[in-house]
Amino acid sequence: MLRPTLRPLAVGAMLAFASPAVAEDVLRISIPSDIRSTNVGVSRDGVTDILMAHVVEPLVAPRNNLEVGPALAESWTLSEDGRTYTFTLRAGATFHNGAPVTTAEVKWSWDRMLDPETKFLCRNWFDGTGVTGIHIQSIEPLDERRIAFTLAAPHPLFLKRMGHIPCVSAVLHPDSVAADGSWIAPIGTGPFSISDWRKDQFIEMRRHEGYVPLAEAADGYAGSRAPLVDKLLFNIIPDPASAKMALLAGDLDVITALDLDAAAELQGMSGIQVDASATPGIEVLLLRNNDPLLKSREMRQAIAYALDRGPIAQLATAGLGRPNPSFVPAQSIYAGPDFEQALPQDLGKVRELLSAAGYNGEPVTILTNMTQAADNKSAIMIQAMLQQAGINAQLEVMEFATQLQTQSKGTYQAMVMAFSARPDETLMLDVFVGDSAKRVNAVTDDPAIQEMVNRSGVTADPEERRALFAQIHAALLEDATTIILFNRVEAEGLSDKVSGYARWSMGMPRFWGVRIGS
Amino acid sequence: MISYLLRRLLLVVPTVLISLVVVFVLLRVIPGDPALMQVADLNDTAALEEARRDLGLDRSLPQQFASWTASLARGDFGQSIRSGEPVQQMIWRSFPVTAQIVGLATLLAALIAIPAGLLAAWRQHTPFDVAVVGLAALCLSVPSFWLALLLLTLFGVTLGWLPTVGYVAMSDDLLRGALYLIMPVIALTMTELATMARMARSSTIDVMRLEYVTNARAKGLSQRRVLWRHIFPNAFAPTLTVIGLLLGNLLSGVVVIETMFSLPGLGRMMVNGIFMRDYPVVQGVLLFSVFLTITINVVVDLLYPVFDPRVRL
Repeated sequence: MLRPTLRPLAVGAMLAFASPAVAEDVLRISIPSDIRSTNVGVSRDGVTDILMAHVVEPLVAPRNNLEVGPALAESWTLSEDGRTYTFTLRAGATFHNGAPVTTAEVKWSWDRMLDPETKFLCRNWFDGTGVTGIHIQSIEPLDERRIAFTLAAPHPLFLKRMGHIPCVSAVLHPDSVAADGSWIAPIGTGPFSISDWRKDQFIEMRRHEGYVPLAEAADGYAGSRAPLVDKLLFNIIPDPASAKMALLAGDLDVITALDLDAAAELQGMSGIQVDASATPGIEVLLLRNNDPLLKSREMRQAIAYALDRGPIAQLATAGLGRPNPSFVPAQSIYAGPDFEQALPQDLGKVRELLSAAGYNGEPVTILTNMTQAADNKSAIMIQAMLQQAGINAQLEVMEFATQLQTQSKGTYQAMVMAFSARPDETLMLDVFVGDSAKRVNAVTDDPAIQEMVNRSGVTADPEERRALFAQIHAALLEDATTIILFNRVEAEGLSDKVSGYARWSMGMPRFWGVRIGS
Repeated sequence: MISYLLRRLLLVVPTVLISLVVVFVLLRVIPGDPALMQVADLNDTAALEEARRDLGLDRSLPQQFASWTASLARGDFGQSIRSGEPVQQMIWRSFPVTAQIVGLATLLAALIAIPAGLLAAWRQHTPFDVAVVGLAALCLSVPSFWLALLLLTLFGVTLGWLPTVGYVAMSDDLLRGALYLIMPVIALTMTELATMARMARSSTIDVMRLEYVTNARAKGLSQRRVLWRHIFPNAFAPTLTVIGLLLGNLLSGVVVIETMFSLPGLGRMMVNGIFMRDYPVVQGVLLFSVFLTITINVVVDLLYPVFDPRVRL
């Protein structure tokens, strides 16, 4: 991290001590906040998930097309009755302590996750006590490399849940915990291991020398995770402007979570590259149908007809995103013209619907936050469009934690916010479709839509799912409780010394397969 | 002096008790749920309830308050909801970072601002006075984040003289540590400089108008002796109060400076705690700030008679 002017000092010192040390390749990366913990799946957040993906591996992981691919398991088979998955572990896989990975550690890791004492956040996704309907009945090692997971009943989303990033089902060495079960540190199988963690300053990771990658090329979080640099140094830089300065000064090689407004500026600079892409995360306008005004479908549809997604996406993503009226992202195998259908902006239709709804200029209060720029900008644009259409839209800007709680309690009229990326359409639909009597934050509670979403979660056939998703999309447009605007855009700023870096559909930065030049 | 000190220390007790209640209640009044911040994107009501249970948020507010104060009585500030780390440990790690910047900046600002303010008053309405007043106004008008960006651009990007990222404790490596502190200290000094210079100038002007100064001059004392022997001690006392207040405020965290220069200080820790609704962290830092402010005020009060003989404790 030495500045160029200080480098002669460093070189002098090296010569003076005649050090035989060989220079290491260090990739210096900025992250906006510190990780919560190293206890994967137990204490986590988005940044923690990104970093820990370099340290630990689940059996399977999402591919670029959001389907499931190999990670620690190189392959798997499904029994004829659809209940037993038999995984074969990657040949040559070792833990960071050098021990070979066997099915005994896989079973130990899963038993630990399913033990309530561990407090694995997604335990009830797999033990039959939660809403997913998945119940792992047994986990049986068949030999050193093959292990069988048997479910109480077939479930087509089992592997997707297993590879879902926030719930990373990491395979760990038992020495990661103390004799009393308390957490020590992760001894994982990933391409890097944590060598130093200075709280609120940096996390340093060192290459796992014994890492044997899959032969299959990197594909999303699946495939090869070959480490090509000696060290990753994640610097915690909370301010995006300071991170930009550090990149320009040559003190950083990569900025993650790049401010989209800075992307255009950086793109034109020599020595800097910008990598931006849309993720499956969606920006939405939520309209509560239990609100006295918005319980009228005509009123909600009037709001939908008043919006033009193009300018909203343009403003909120600094021109890097495109409108998308559906929950199906462009990367998905289900993407297609069915999901591009939307209610067009039509002010005549708005007047007609407002009249049918008996609208008399009552205010529609749209909540948003000041932390997420895309939410804030979208809300401002939506307010302007609604006002232009004769709807008395008011904006209430709050702090993010406050908005999150309001959304969780369902105590609002209208709200603009984003839902983070999910590796499957049903998982995304689960966020906002549900029985509002049981889950108050379920904003779309039409029983017919709920039924279709439930079916999409238990259907394995892609064609059948595609047809269901198309019906759900059409029904959502009609229902107009969740108005999907566009997919969230994320970006990284990189020095041109960095090669091999590529964004993938879920957007979470990955630094395996990446090199740093001189 | 002893009885004054005892009285002041006794007053600390109700101050701290009131602070405990205010800090606890205010944090609970702010909307937001720490458990939700952890599991919101899982969209799982059961996971949310379990997280709330684990964090003790399912208990009544009086129960939570009793549990917190009982822990405090044992010297335990609790554990961060976000990281699980003991709050005392976090404070002891972050406070030296803030203290280094604030201490150096305050010292530097005092060394520049007090003589400058004194001389500006002494040479009131001269170009020097106008320059000091103008510079102070400029420093006060420049937002610290903008100043920080200017410094980063100039010394970090354009000249390449100073590192823009990272932090090294001076106790670990004096030279490298100093390099990382130059920009934050300059940015903070500029802000403090203005307040101190204006205070030093106005209190000097007030003192210069008093009769004993006229008397000293009438006795035929040299201008220098009048200034340093008769004016400075009396004019310095109000500035000392300002320095005390500034120190108290700044040692509780210089959020903008710490954020812009990526320094792991107390202010950044508290702001993160507020955003994440990390109740134990925010409560711990606020309580620590209360102690700090009280201590600095007591020290300033005790120093007052040294500079102003009229004050007797």
